[in-house]
Amino acid sequence: MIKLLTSGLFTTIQDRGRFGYRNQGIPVSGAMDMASATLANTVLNNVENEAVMEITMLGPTLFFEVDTFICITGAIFNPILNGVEVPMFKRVHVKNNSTLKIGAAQQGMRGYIAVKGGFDVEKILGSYSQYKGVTNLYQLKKGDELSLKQPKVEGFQISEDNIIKKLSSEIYLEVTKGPEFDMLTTQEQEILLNFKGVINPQSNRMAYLLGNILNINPPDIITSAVQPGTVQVTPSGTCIVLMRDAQTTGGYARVLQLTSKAIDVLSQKQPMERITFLLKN
Amino acid sequence: MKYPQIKFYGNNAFILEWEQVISTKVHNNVLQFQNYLTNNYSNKIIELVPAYNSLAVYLKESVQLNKFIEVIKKINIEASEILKTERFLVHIPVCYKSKFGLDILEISRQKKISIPEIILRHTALIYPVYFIGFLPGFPYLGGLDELLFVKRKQQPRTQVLAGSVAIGGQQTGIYPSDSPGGWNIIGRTPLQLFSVTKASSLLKAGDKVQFYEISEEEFKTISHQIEMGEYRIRKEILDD
Repeated sequence: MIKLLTSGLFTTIQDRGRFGYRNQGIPVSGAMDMASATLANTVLNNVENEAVMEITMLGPTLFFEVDTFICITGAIFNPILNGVEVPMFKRVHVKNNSTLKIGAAQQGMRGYIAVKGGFDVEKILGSYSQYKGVTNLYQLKKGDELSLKQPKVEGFQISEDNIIKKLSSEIYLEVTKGPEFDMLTTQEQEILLNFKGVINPQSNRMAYLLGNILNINPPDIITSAVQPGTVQVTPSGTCIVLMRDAQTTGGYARVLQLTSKAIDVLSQKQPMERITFLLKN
Repeated sequence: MKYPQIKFYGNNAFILEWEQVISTKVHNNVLQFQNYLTNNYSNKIIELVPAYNSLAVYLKESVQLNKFIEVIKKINIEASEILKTERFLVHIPVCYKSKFGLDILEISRQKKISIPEIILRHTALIYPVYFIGFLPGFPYLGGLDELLFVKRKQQPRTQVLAGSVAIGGQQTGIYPSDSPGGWNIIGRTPLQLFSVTKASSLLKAGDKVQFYEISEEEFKTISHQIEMGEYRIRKEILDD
């Protein structure tokens, strides 16, 4: 059992997402920085889709009533286990009756904590990812207790020496053209591709709002499917990037589409940081 | 049927798009194509998301987008046998009492239509379900009586209760779960639009809906029957 002594700012359980229910209005969800979440599982020799804890800016303090291994990835924290600093991106042996304090992110936005075997939490519609209206729990709170699964595979395989993980300080987000890109004028396309978006503090798992109004007159569209990574422009010129908890349909022009890697990069950007789009050929 | 325009949508998806019109005629193309792809390419597709005049196709990572689109372009829709899925006309009970229909009196004043006439007009028509979106189980319905068009509220409510039947602009809809919302609430249904445990929506794209009026007593009775698992939803198979 792992108990949350404090919850941190916004802590949820995520995996690689919930697929097959978007036609019923159910978002995909899943870890915002998918590569980091997967890496945490890989280091522990877990199934790559195992449930991990996603922490946001300020991490929780956890009390372990179990002997296990953990791995912390993603944003850069200074995790402290029983008063001693422990490394990120490596497996860490946590003994029974240990306290792990994650603290505040030094760089980046979201961290991932995987445990050997994975968290034994409710699996709804094929996924552990917490989402209000789908899972009973949609945010971890102080006092919550999480059970661990029995590891499917004992031991570890990969050599940790090969893992060199630095948080990307990239400001370019790799994109492809969205369904409505070609309906913009050449000048509007240029404005969009030269845009320096400032991340609005209201950004969350559903969408990132990018500041500075775009001088673009987007085409009116009839409500149609949207997906994580879709860049929308509203009639007033606001730029929205949909993230993992995105609604399944939307009514704003879809001008660009982030690659999965670019979603990972954006999800580590803090408010007021800047980004710019880079169109892939 | 008409052949759609194909638009790329990222590395693993594309959109099939028909003319920019909201009508059941255009929507039938969407449904037919959805069935065709489901029946023939489910091994390549993660999922399909239909909307009014479009169909999003999300492909498995292993599938090469360009190659698959070439295959799609060669489909001879006219010659292919289009299998129809079962579609239903679902009768949805609604209590229009002002206890539930928080905005019905205001609409009556604003539009100068009596409450019984609002109810009559709202229950008279059969609404096509274009698709489910916005919230789990939220149906996008078409075909509202023009006299019932009401602008969304200036100040959205922070909490609209599940089952609330409402009007937003030119559409009517049902809130499947408690959520913030700016539509004008005219009543409430005791039916559950979405069940996580059953992993299913009451409605799906292609179904039709007709509302009928119930009293507060009947609302309570049906709620109780639903709780006990004894309620049978009134629906019939559409054969058009």
